[in-house]
Amino acid sequence: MSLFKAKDYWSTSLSASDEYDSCGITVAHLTTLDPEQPQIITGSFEGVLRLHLPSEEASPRDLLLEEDLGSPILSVKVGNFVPTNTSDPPTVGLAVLHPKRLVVYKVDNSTPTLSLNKCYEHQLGVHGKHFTAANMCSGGFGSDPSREQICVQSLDSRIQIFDLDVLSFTRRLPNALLPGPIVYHEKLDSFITFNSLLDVECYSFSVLASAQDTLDSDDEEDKLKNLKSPNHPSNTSVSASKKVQASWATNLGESIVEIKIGSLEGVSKDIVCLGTKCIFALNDLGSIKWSKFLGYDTIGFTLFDNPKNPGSNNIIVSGADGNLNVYRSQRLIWKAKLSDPNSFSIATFVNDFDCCKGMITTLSDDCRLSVSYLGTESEKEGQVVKEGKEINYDDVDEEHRKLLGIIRASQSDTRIEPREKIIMRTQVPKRLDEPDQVHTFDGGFEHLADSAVRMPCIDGSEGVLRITAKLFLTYTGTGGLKDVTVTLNLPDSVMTKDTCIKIDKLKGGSATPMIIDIVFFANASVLPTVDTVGVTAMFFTASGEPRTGTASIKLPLFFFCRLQPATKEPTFKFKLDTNKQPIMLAGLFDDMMDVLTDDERSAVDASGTANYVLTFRYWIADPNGVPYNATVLLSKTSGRYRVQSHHMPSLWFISSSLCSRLESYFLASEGPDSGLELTYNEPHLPLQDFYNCIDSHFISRQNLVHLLSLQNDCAHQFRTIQKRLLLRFKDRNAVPLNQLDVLLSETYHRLLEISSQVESAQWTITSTSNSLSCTTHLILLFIKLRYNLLPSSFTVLSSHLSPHISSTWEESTDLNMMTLLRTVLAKKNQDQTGNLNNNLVMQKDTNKLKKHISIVVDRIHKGASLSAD
Amino acid sequence: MPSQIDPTWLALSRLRRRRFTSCISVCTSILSTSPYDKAVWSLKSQALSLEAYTDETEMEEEGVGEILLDDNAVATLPRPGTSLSAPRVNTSSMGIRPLSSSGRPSTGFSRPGSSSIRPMSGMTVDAAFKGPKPGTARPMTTLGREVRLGTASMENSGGKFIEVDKLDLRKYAGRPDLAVVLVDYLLQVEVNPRKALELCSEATQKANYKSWFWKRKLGQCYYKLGLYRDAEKQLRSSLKDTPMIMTYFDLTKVYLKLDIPNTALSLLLSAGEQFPMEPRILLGIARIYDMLGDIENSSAAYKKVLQIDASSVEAISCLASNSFYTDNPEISLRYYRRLLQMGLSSTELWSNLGLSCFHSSQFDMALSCFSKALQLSNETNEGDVWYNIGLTGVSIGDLALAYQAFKVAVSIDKNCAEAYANLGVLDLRKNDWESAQAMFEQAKSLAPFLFEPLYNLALLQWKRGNLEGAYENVKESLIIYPDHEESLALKKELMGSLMGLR
Repeated sequence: MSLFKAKDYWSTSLSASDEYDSCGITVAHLTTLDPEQPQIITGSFEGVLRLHLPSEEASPRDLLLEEDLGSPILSVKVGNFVPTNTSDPPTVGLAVLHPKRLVVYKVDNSTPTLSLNKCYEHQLGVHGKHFTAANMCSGGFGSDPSREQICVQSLDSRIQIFDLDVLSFTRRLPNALLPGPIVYHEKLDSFITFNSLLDVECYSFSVLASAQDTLDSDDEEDKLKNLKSPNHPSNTSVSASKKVQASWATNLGESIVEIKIGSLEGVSKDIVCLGTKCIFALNDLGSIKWSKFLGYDTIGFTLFDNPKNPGSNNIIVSGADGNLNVYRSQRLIWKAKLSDPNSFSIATFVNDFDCCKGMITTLSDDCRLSVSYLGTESEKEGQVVKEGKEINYDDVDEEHRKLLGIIRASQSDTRIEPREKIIMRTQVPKRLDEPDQVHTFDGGFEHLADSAVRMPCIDGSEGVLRITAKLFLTYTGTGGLKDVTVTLNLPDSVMTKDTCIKIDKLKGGSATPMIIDIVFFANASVLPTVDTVGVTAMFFTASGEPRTGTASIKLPLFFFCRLQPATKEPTFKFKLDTNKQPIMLAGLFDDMMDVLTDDERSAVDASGTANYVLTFRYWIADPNGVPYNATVLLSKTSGRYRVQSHHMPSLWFISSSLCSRLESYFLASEGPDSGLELTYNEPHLPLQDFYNCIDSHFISRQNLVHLLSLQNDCAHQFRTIQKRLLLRFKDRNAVPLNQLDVLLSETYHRLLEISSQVESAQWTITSTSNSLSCTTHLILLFIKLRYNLLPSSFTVLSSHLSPHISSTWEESTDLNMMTLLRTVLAKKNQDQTGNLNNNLVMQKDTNKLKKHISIVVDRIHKGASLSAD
Repeated sequence: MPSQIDPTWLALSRLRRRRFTSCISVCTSILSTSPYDKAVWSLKSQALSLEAYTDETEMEEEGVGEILLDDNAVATLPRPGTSLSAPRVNTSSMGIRPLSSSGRPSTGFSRPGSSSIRPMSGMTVDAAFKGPKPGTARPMTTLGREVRLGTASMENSGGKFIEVDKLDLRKYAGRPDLAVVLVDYLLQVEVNPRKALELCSEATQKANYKSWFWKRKLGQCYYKLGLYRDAEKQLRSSLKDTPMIMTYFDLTKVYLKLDIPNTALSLLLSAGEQFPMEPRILLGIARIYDMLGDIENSSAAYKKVLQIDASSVEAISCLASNSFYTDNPEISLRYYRRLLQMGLSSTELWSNLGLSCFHSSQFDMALSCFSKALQLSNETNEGDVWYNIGLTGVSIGDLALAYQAFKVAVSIDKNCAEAYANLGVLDLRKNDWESAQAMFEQAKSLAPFLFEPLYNLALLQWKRGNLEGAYENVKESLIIYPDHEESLALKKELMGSLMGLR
């Protein structure tokens, strides 16, 4: 990288198809036209010799001479090669090296156009044979500076010395497979060359001149041929090498590109050798004075007078990266890139032209000849940030805002649901279906018939109570969906024929929604706990992604119970206070009134009592066949309601309905800020009744466990007897039966008996579970109303004291209570950690559970908060 | 080809002018007619060697293969300062100076080897597979990229030039003029250091163990074969015969491979006494100081380089980055400007210019520099530019810009651990704890040598109550940077909390 660029003063393009060797150019005073101006002489491979005289304004007239010499020009050199007739020293002439000839010309400037006059010509080699020129050097060989002689080196490293027009001698240099650069060192009177062993060698002229060389003879030629042939690889010594001995040789370890003699420090002459990577300065004895790693691929170099220190030379090294590197001794003082950035200089000269001193002449590899100086123009001037077109800031802002919008949308946490989804809507009729359509449960649904609630039809026959809800399915995406599955999540008290509905095809877009009729039957064997049926539709999008849509069907109250004339047998009752004026019950439960037949209504509303007392009859009957019922009474003066029943679990469904109806009534009439407060207005919670309920459930569980173990024993006994009987059956000489057959049949009967007991025990568990679930619901409601629990606290409590009765409800609830007591309900100084026994083992009794529930209720009563914050 | 010109001479001339392709084609045509012309054979091998030349004075990139197959025992727990794998003598620059992808403080100049692992021997194979083009960037062979270069040039020359296996090396050793060419060919083109070694040992025997040249080549062959101690012996002996600059470079490389930077340094220092005006020796000294984290000495060496060779891009850029990280952005701005004037134009330069401008309060210039950097960028360095833009955004408080810039950086360079760490910090500001934690974890896994993500992770975990995890991370952070004040404070706090719990 260079800071500056070489500035062209003059340049011209030589024919581009041609090629020049780095020796094919020289800059010298060849003509006397302008003694101040050196001329540039170039000789190409095509054999064209050109003479240029740079001028300030480049013009075709700068080309002084152009002549086709008819043979490739390898090298040109200017020196005092032209002999004169008198004893005067020879005058300046141009030596041109062709592959087989050396010609010396004199330039004649007497005519208006210059012309070349051939002075003399040497055929190279002996009789012009066996010699192909490689390069040449000149100098006053033999320490005779007055005569400039020429030394031509051949391709096979022989040298021929010509003293003007006379051939002096021919010698072979040893160790040279390929000719290296060669120069003449005046002070040593020696040739410095580079051989194929990577040595720089010094051959004294006098040694070369006096050595015997018999190469002239033909047999030696043959020997040389044999050397090159593979049949005599061992014959590697050259006979001449015995005679021609180098004064010294120094291994430089790399190929030397060019050798020049110059004075780098101004003291003595140095031999400067440019290698492919390094530059070396050797002294007269061949030892390395210094060497320098250049760090770039070298092409050639030149030495020129240091203007600051006359007598010493600076170096310009031309690199393959197109830079000219100027060194003073070892210090890089300037670096300039050629004006043609894609090429490099194969030959560089520094001369004083009349315009300026120290102009640099370069011949680039693509045949561009230029004279330039080291300008201070920065290499890539104008390489600044280009301001693009005028920025319209409004547009930029607009685009930025748009992009920000997109970014924000993609970064926000809320996932945008895809637009393709299933929307479900449900519709429940205001009335039950007419029971006159006699319904039969055939086709695999016979089991429903047992527990379905019967109702008299109009014609007096017995029908089935049912209600048909409508489910509307809409798909918002385009196209359609295949294989949509609708699943119903039924509570115990509701039955239907099929809980899973498969839809083969659902049209999308604005098509009419698909309507599915779902017929629900009431279950007469359990108390209702919840009145909603969950509906889930599952489908796969086009990309195979599973998605669902949900809805719920809220079944009407009249599906679960019916009004009946008021009864007053309050075993269990509780009061519910509101802070609002009383609402007439007939209005509050108007839908219940509507479904009644006229007879029933008159019975229920005898003398207008329906506004203050309503009795609801469930479909399920107690063991005596009397249906369970619950009664709601309204205080005539204040907004106080009383719910009562002879059976505690029956209270739940009606109370929950009452509470939600009150809430929605005031929400509708007074808005969300109605400030309705429902209060449980009893001194105590009916925990004892709750415990009884737990006990009965627990006892039924214990009973089942007991029965199951009996059944197991019995079955074991049965199998054992069977085995013995079989043994005897197979035995040829059987022992007597000893009443084993009787035993078998007895055991069999007993087994059947126990099994039916198990069955009934299981049924008992179902019914006690149902009661327990209702009671738990009820207790939770009481706790919530009494202690005015926040919704979050209520969620915590109801998930610990769960109304969903599992098969190990007692154990898990006990564990849950302990967890509550140790965590959120713990006393401050109590250790919060500690291991809970996580094993769900059925306890002997429920005392512990009851105690824990009591403590929890007690703590809540004392104001402990259940939710974390 | 011009008629009448001798083709051998033409090839010679073209070789000198570095027209290798045409030189080789001329040689090939000569050899097709006279296959036993030794001179032409030598020319062609020279041309092939030069064409395939790789600058072996530089450290080469290490392939995955080298790491996998490297069985040179290097001290696994070197004392600080004696190895490049534990280079930090002074930690004052910690946290100020960014680290390269191998965890070494980045220098201003990307040179071969500086981005790779060994001499950073603590490197794992996992880490070698990272980078923009994992695995493919460096070929999985023991001889690395050289093999590929070799085969590529063979295709040009059309078929195999020298049947290496059939060579009678003893014969060639007897012909030193051919041997010197052949050894280069074997090393550069064929990349067959085993054969080259055979040739060298024959040749050095023939030269009565006196030739520094053959000893150096022998050393090079040993080096390529991974026999570093043998290489050292030969190169030492060669230097004893004739001290040459190139031999010093070779020996330095051996020492760096052996991960004994102090020996390499003293070697270079003694070489510097012999060759006081050699910038490459000074550069080598500066590089080793750089690797050892000795900024002051490396800066001084770089300055000496510039006195000898004012156009040394490496020295200028390293000085620029050194002064940038010692809080002299104005000075580094001047250095970078000089690089720009020297005709350099790269993403990295413009990006550095932008940073220098920004830190020396020339805000108007900074952004245009970054936009120029983006214009010039390609996929390998675009991420870094965006990361720098993100840092600028953080500095001027435009956190939205910063966040997006880091996101872009991560999207381009998925291994940009610093960007992940900064994204984590920005996520923390948004109270997005989960995301922040994920970002820090990611940064930690990508760059285990950065202490910032570790400390940040520890802080985050401490705040979220994960004392155990916080303690682990702060411990790791302190291993990397033992003097980090905040980590020390956090560790103390954590110790207190953990003791209290028990």
